[in-house]
Amino acid sequence: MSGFETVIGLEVHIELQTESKMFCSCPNRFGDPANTNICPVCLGLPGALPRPNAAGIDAAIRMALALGCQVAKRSKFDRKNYFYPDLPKGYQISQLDEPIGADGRVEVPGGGTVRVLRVQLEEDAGKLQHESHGAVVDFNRAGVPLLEIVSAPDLRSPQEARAYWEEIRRIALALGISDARMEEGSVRADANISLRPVGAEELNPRVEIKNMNSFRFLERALAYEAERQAEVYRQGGRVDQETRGWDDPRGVTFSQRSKEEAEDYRYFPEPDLLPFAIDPSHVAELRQSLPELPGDRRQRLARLGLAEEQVRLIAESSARTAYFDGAMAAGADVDSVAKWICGDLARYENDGRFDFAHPAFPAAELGALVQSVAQGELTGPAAKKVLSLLAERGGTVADAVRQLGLGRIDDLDAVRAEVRAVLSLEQKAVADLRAGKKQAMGFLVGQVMRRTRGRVAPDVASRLIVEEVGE
Amino acid sequence: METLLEAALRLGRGETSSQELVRASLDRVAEREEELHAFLTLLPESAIEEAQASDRRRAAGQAMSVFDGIPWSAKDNLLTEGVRTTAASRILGDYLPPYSATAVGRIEAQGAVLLGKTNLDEFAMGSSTEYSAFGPSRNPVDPTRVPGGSSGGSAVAVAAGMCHFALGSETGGSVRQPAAFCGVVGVKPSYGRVSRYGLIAFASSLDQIGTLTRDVRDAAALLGVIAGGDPMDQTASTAPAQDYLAAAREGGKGLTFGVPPEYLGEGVAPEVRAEVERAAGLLERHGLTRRDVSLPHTPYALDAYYIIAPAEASSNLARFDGMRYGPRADAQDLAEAYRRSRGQGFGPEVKRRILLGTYVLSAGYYDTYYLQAQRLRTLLRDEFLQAFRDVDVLLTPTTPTTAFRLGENTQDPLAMYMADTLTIPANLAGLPAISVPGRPVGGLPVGLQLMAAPLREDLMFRVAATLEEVAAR
Repeated sequence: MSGFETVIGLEVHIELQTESKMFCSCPNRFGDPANTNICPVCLGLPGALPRPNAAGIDAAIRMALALGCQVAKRSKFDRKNYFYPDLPKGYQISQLDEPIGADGRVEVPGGGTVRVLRVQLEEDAGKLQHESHGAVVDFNRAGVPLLEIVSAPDLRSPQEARAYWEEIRRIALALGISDARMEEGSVRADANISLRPVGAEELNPRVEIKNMNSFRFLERALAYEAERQAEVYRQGGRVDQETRGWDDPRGVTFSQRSKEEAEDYRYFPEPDLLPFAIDPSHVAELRQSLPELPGDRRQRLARLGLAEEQVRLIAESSARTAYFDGAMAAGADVDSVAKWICGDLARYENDGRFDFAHPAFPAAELGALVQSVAQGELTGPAAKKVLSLLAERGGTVADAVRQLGLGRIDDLDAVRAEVRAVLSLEQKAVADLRAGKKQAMGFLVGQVMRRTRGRVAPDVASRLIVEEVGE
Repeated sequence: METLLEAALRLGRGETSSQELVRASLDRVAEREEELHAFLTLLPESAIEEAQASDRRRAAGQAMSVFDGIPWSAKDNLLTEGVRTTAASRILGDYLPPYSATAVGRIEAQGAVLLGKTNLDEFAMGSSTEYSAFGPSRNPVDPTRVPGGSSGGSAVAVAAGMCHFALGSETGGSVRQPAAFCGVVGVKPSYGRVSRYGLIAFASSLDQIGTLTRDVRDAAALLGVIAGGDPMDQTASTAPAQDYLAAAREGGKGLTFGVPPEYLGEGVAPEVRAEVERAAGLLERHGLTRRDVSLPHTPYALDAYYIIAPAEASSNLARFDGMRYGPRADAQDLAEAYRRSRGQGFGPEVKRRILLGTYVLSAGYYDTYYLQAQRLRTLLRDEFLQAFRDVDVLLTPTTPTTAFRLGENTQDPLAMYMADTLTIPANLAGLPAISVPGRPVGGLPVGLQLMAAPLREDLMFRVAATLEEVAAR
């Protein structure tokens, strides 16, 4: 893409995890049988009227605050009019010119600062499903509160766009306002992308790629589109403002709607809902209640001296960070806790054997485990076994150690007996050691470990081997 | 004709029964319905059953209220659970609502007996009931004339003795204008006074459920039942309802009224103007003070209305798409399904307003039309509030003329729209307003309108009671 600068803006949609929908009292729940969580209001039946869900408004305010936005003192809802079978009323209740939040910013990990133009509250549509005999609509999702977060065109690469989107999702998760499940479509994004000659100020016509539901799709679609536009310009052509879709299997974008065919949404203030004031003291309370945000988590962990990769991994979720903090609070040292979390526990989590959000054993036990090792009560290999058992069955380190019979063998005579037994069996290694081959020592210590199931401290084993062989 | 409160009194004294009242109503229906076409749906069987139940309650000393056992009707844009509701449109087919409007539910909770659903202009868009998809209603006073609209069927039913009271709805005069044409009392409460939940929306910021009754006290009693906050309608005022009946009993003595000259100008028939002046004189003679006020922005109200109302309507009626309810036309693709279902389902006046509303909201026109109309609306409202610092109520004609003939205005939408010029301002400003019969002119009823400040229905009813007492004589 030499000679061109990529300019990307993102509209991220996040479904809020409220008890009930935004404008009626139907449950806001994913996965229920189709059309069970519906009522006259979210079905758009004649005569039905919306009534706002205060929890949705609070969630929007918290997101606005987390993104450093100005929270409006007065806000209102507007109608966005268009026809589609998944849109029961023929309009979506949204916000046009008085969004709940405006003028925020996000520090993108590994990227720059991105301005957030607005955070607005709206309602989701139903879900259209194409079946062999035609299309059917599930209205369970209709009226689910949806946040739209609109960035300025500040993103400069598909990678940065992805990182920005991931960060927005992490923030939503940290706030607890959404389960942000990609696979359930609760986080979606529309991307606007254009190219311009490096150094140019003016923006060229942009292409909008709508309704992306995976980070990977977004990155691929934007990379493809940037290359496509560059090629158009290289050929001396013109890029038209249009909406394009992403065909992932084929790896291409395709034209959906030109600027001329663009919908006129005929926005106007929603007359069924009153404009509402947002009390600054309420905003102050919500600000007080904000949790530590991902950016702050990363900074704090970095200050503790963790490696970049460890910071990234632990700060990824509130649950991991909380677990880390819990183990630290039990008096364990930073490096060891980070290693255990980023090593064995992260692996367990990947394998579905452990969940930081609902851990099988409390973080304090990880702290206890780290301390047992530090104080030489448990060997490293034994600790791994203990951790595995804890992950499987829960409980305490002390119980697990007892259960596994892993208490360190402290009695030197007992250890010496084990060492002698190994030496008598491994004559060749003993000879090698005597001949000065250092690798033989590692082998022999390993054999002692194996024999004792890791209950002997390796340095003790090593010292006794030297003594025995030396004699 | 017997009022609702008189019937309640006779019921209370055991001089009549609900069954007798309902049967008398059904007899009137049998006599005149074919000619007048007040109803779109009649419920004779369920009405008799409900009347029997009411009589049993009363016999057991468990009458629910003064309304218990009294026959009434609801305009067919008010939802009635399990009872076909059409808004006089083909697009709803034989729609059976799964719930009742809040106002309907409140009346049912009083034990009143629903006799049927009344005719209206399709989606309440019209001033004569001629735009009903199911044929016009006729004025019981002179069946060659329209009953007014859009709540024409409700006005006819009350005026012709087919029921003791009815609910209608207003967006720009749809209760008061037919009340004036048919010689009954029509009330449009303040915006937000009655929950709109279950009223099929026309223009949300203007719509309000209203009452049609045979006198002012009935209206006061009825409004007392349906007024008040509703968790299902955020725009419904939570201010407690006043004792309107007590206000009507008190009368208007000592209050001040004004007659704005803008309501007596061009287009108002001289005999209607004379009737208002006569009524003003009578009020003065009965202890009220006249202090005239000017409302110079009045002439712009119609323009603002015909931007705001169609704009909101174009959006409110988008849900009628044949996808979830109502007939769906056969089509090859989605766009055609919308075009044909809506093309076949809506009548010409509804289409005209949807087109108008879609146009004024389109990109590039919004500021010129909608925003400008909203500014006018604010000016009008401020002007009214200013006037209400000087006077308690305003006295005007309800309509510029008496009832016109069927077909007289159907080819000329603008002439039809003029029928609402004097009622529209109260909708735009959210004021309570009432039409009380004056002395008929040329054998046709004339309506006298009173308007009061928002949520001052008490003042409106006080003066209306006096006006009723002195003016119709």
